[in-house]
Amino acid sequence: MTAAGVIALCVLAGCSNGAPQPLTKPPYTVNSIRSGLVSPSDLGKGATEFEDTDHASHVIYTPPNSIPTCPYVQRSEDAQVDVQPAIEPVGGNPTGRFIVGPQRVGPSSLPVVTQGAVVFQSPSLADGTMDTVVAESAKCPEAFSVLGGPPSVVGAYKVGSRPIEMDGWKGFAQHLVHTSPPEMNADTYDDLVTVVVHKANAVIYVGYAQIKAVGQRADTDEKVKALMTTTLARLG
Amino acid sequence: MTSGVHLAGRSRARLITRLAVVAILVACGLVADLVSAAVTHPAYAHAYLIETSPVDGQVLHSPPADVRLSFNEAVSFNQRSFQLLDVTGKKLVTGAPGYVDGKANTARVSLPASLVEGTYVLAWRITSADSHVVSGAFSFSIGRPSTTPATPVEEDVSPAVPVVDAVGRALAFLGLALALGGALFVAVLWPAGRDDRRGRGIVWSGFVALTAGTVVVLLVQGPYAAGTSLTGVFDPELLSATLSTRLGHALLVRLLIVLALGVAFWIAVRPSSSLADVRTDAARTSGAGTAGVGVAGVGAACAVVLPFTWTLADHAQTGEQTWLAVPATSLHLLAMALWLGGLIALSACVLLPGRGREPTGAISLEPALPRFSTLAQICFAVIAVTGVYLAWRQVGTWGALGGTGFGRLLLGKLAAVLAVVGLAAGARRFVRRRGRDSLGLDTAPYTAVRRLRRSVAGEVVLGVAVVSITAVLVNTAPARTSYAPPVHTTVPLPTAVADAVGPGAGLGGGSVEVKIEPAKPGSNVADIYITGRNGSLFAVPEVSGALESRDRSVPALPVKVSAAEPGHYVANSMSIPYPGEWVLRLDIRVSDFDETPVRVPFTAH
Repeated sequence: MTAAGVIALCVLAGCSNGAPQPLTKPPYTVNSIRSGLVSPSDLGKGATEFEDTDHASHVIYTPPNSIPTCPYVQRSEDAQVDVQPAIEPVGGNPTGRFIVGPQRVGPSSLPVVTQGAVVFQSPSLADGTMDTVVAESAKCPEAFSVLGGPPSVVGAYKVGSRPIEMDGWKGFAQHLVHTSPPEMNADTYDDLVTVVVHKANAVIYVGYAQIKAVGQRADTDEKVKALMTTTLARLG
Repeated sequence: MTSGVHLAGRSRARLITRLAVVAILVACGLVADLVSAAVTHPAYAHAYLIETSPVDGQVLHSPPADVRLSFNEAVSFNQRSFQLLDVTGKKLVTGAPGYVDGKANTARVSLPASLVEGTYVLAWRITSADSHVVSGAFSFSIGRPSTTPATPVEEDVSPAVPVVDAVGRALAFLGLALALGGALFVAVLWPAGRDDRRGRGIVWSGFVALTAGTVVVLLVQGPYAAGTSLTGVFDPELLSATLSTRLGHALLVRLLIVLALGVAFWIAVRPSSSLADVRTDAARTSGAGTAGVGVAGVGAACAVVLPFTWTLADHAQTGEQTWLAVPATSLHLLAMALWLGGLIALSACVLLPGRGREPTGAISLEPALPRFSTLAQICFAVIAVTGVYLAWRQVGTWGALGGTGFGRLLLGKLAAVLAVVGLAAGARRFVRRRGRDSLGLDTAPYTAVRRLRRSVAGEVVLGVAVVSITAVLVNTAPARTSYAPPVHTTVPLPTAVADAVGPGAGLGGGSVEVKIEPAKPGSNVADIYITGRNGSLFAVPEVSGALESRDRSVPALPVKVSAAEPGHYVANSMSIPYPGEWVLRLDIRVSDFDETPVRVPFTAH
């Protein structure tokens, strides 16, 4: 009888999947949402974190409280569409922008994560902002070039986007590949995936960038999904 | 003689408490299953759209007279099944929908002649042949597309509707078991059953549950098909639409059969009836026996026909081998009902004597228990044979078993059934061992009988669990149709590439690796990796693509391919019109002058 009860319980009620308990739950606050961001321990040994307040020195400027929609496009001379590189949400409370990465970036180093979140008073406000972000990112051209400026941003950009859903967070993962002109750098390319997801009253974005050798497959998409599966589970 | 079946008050209370706890768990599990099914699968992909006229996104010079849709199987619909919306989201009046040339897998909706220039959306929501609802939308433009996109179609179906529908189906399954299995046990297997108030009560509650479940499904099907809320259950128009479908006919026939069965059971167990005597001693009742046999014949015929009211309107009558699947599913359902209903009656009336019984408070296990044990053995054999066949038919492959919700539910059901078989085998051993005893079953020791009671109670709980899982299963798209393993294939580059000079020279001995997800009708993503001889990705100037049907029955469809990292190319929105054999043709330009075609065959499920 006991065995039958246990079997019935397991079969019908479902057994625990062993997932860690979340640290918080909706509705989120500016403080609680930060537990869902990537920390240095999530990224690996040698990673450090700092808040990105010195945005004026960026070669591609976007406001620190904005949500990315089409990175680097503002530097392009040949983009045929009018698209904003980021959206500044109206009525939300941003966490600011945090960067987690290695001390020195290179082809064999840890990746660089640029992230932040915006918390809203209500889920409907977050819905509206997410709709705006999705619509703007949909306008991002599949290919554009940056012809002038700092050498690190010059080159060809290829952009692709796919819908994504993790633990109830829905949004998109935008893959951006930057290749430098052959005469400047024919050996490596920048592999960047920007994930923007939304749940309840919050929108989170995570940009995950690596340098890969030409001939190697881009794997940022899989890596960022695995990382965010862990971090988003903390939000409940 | 009957001392062995007395249950001490404390033990009985403990057993009842345990049963209540497990019943609550079962109920929680059922609700969780149903809610999960409703939340994650608001619409099931049973029928699918093959083609439309005009096609999605087409720009026409003048307004078409009508819109035509073609599905892979027969569908049913009503006036509310199609909505034409203009660019502002305003619903426009359309003509009454009908079939094209009487073909049941088509639909035709006449459009107003006054359509002005711009983009329109036609939203459709039809009922598949297996009674499940599917929906979608497509757009077309007249003159030129609107500058603003057409308003998306809002799905307004209430999540409560599929939950209530599944509860109704579960109630009907349980009622079927109690009505058929309980009636057989009370009226045939257990000589004292005809006079047992509790036994009759179980059977009548089965009739009530069966009727109530059927009525619930009948009422909810209208809002389910129309995509509205539960407030539409008493909408005469929706009810009329349901009654005009195959499911509506089946439910009406079911109610009539339930009525006939109820009358037959009432005649069989009424106090003045001599049917029981006929059954127990046919030779003693030659006159009344004729009427009794007639009633029994009507009851048996109704019992055999009743399961067909499910199987002629569900998964069994769509797909392959319907000629075998319908009777096999009916037999499966009948065997389940006879076993589970009989088991519940046996445990409630014979094994668990309760209050209000005869002064001795004891009931003989003979001959009800050995008779039921034999019946259960036959039922299990039928369930096993038909179950294996039906599982193969609905699942098809091992991958689909673990890769779909249907397959996982089926595994859960199998686990519960195996647990039932284990418990039933123990009970069967008890009956056979004690049956050989000259003193019979009723001399069994108290502890052995207590174990038997617990075992049977466990069977009942698991049996109800199986029914609850089945109720969710019949609301879920079969794994065979929903399983779509992603395509992952590698094709060698043609040898001509090896002769190329210039940038493409490094491709000799290379290959093209293609991943297509989800490899189902609709929008798909294709990842194309071009690798050289050493396995590294190899960037080429350009890759273009086209989708061709293997039999060339439709013209090649262009596939837009974009570059990702060097050597990786992506088709983000490759649209596959329908399941079948397809070829992704890639034209790979390896230099300014050389282009090589690569054909990648694959199957869309």
